[in-house]
Amino acid sequence: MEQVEAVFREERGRLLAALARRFGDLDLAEEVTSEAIEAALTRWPVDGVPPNPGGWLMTTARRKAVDRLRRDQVYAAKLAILQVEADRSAPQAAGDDLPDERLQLFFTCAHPALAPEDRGALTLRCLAGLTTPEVARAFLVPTATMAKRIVRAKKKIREARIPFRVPGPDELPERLPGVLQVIYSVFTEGYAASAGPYLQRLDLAEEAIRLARIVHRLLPDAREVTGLLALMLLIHARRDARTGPDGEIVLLEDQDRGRWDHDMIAEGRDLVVAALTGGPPGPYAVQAAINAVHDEATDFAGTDWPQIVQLYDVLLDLDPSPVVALNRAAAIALRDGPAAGLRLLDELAAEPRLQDYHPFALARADLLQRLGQVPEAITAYEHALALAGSEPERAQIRDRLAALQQTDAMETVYEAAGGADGMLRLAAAWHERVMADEVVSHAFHGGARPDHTERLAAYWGEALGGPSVYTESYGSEASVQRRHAGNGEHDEMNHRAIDCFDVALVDAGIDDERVRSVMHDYFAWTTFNTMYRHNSEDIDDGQAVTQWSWDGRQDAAES
Amino acid sequence: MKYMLLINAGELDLQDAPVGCEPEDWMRFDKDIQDAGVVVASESLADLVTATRVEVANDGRRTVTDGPFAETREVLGGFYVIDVPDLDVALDWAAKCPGSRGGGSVIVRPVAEF
Repeated sequence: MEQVEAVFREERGRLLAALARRFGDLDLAEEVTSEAIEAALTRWPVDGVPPNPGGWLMTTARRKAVDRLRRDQVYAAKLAILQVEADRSAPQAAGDDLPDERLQLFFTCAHPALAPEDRGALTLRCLAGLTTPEVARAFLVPTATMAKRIVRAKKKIREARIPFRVPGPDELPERLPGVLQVIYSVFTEGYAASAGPYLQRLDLAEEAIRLARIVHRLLPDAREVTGLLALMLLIHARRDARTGPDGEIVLLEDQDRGRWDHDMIAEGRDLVVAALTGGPPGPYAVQAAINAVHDEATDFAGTDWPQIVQLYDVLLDLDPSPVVALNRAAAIALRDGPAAGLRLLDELAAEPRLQDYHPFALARADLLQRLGQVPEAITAYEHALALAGSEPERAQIRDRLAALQQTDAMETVYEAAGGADGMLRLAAAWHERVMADEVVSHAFHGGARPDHTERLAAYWGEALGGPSVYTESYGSEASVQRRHAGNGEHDEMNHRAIDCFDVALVDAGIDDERVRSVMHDYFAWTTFNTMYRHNSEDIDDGQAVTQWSWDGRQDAAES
Repeated sequence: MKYMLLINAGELDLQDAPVGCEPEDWMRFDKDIQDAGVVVASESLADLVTATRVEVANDGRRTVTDGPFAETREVLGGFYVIDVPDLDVALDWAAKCPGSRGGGSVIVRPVAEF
C-alpha cells in the first residue's frame, strides 16, 4: 500500500494544483484530492487501473467537489459554484496526463504576501504531499501550531485572493527567487538540522531536491533553478561521509571521499555547466560551482582554494551578505593561513546577523585555536556551543572545547616545550648563540659558571610552570635579579639576546607556534624587566619566580 | 474582488524631495487608475491637525478630543477602493501609487464580503 501511496504523491501534487487553480480554494482542492485518491485506492485494485488514470482522478475529484458544494450552499455561494459547473461541462483535455499546473501552485505557496515561515510549510504540504504532522516535524513546531499556521495561510490565499498563476516574464526575476528560497530553506534544514539528535535530516534534503526537480522540469531555461538543483545535488552527494557510525560529525577534511555519491556529483556538475552558460551567473550557480570545486578535489589538501576564493569574490558581489563574507573568510584562511582569515572575521564581528550565528563563532574559535590563542578560542567555542542547534554539532563543539581546556589547564608551557630536556636543549642552544654574538657575548666575559646551562634551564622551567628546581637547588629569584642588576643601559644587548632566544627555540626543536610565541613573550619580558634592574637595593628578597602560562604573565606571581 | 489601498504618507522632507511623489505624479496615477475603470471610491484626507477623536464610554458619555496626532512616522493620508480580479493586480496598483514611495507605504486590505 505504501508503494501505491508513493505513486500517488506525484499525482497528488498535480491534481491539487489543477484543482486549486480551478476553484481558487486550497481547502476544497485538498479535500477532494484526498477523496479522489482514496477512491482510487479502493477501486483500482478491484476494477483495474483505468486507461487514463490522471483523467479518472480529475473527473472523480470534480464530481466530489460538486457534491461538496451542493451539500454546503453557503460555501458554494462564496466559491462561485457556476465556475465549477462550467468547468465540469467543458470538454476533457486530450492526452493521458493531467495538465501540470504545479508551477502556479509553487508561486502561490511562496507568495511574498504570505509570512515567510508559512511559505515553506505550505510548499511542503501542497507540493511535497507531506501531512500536517510531517510538516510540523520538518519545522520543529507542535502539530497544533503548524495546523494553525497552515489554516491561516490558506485563509489568506482564499480571502485576499492570492492568485494561482505564474508571474509574467517581467515579474519572474522578482518572484522566482522567492520560490527557490523556500526550496533551499527546506534543503538547509535537511543538510544541518537546527535542532534534534541528528546532524542531517535526509528526508527533508531529498524533498527539497524533488521539489527543485519539478520546478526545473517546468522551467528548464531558468538558469538559477538549474543552479539551485546543481547546488543541492553537489552538497547532498557527500551525505554518507558527513557523519560517523554514531552520528558524529565528520568534517570535510576528514571525510572518506570514496563514500561520496559520484553519480550525483556527475549530475550536479553537468547542471552547473548549464547554469553557468549563457549569461552572467546567479548566486545559486556560483555556490554550486564552489561545491563542484570541493567535489572535484581528490583530498582536502588538493582543494583548489584560490579558485574557491575567486568564486566567493563573485558571489559576494552578487549577494553581499555577511554569511557569504564569513564563508569567503574561511576559504581565505585555507588559502593564506589562519591569521588572514581571522583578520577578515574580526572585521565582520559587528554584523548583527552574525551575532547569533553559530557557524561564525565556530569559525572564529577554529582559527583562534590554530593560532594558539587558547583562552580566546575557548571563549569563542563556548559562544558557539550556546548557539549551536543539533546534538552532533553540540557534541563536536563540546569535544573540541574539552580538549582545549585540558591543554590549557593540564599542560604547562614547560611540558609543551619538552619539559626538563627541552629546557636544557634550549639553554644550551641559547648559550651557544649568545657566545657567537659579538655584543651579547660581553655578558659572559667574566666567564660562565660551569653549571650555567643547567641553572638557566632550571630557572626557565620553574618560570614556565615546571617544578621549582631552581629555588630548591640553586637560589632565589632575588639572587638572580641581583646578579643581572646594575649593569646600566644595554637595550641593544637585550634585543640581541631576545633574537638569540628566538633562533635557539628553533635550534632546540621547539616548533609549536603556540609554545614559541608564549616563550618569546616570556623571555622578552623578563629580559627587559626582572633581568634589567638598575638598582639592586630595590629588589625584594621575598619574591617568587614570576610564572608564565599560555595567557601570559600570571597575576598571582606578581610582586 | 474589492481591495482598499490605505495610503500612509511618508514624512515630508522638503530638502530631499522624495522620488516619484510630486503632485504631478499623483495626478498621473489618479488618471491612470480612474481610466482603468477599477476605482470604486477614493478620497484623500485633509491635514492631520484637523482630525478630531470621538469616544463613547459604556455609560454613554461622549468624549471629544483634538487629534489624534500620530506619534508614528506614518499617517493615513487617503485611500482608494478598487475592484480587481486578484491580489497581484491590487499589489501592482499599490506599487504604482506615489504614496508607496518616499518613505510612505500602501497597505492593501481585501474588503470583507458578506
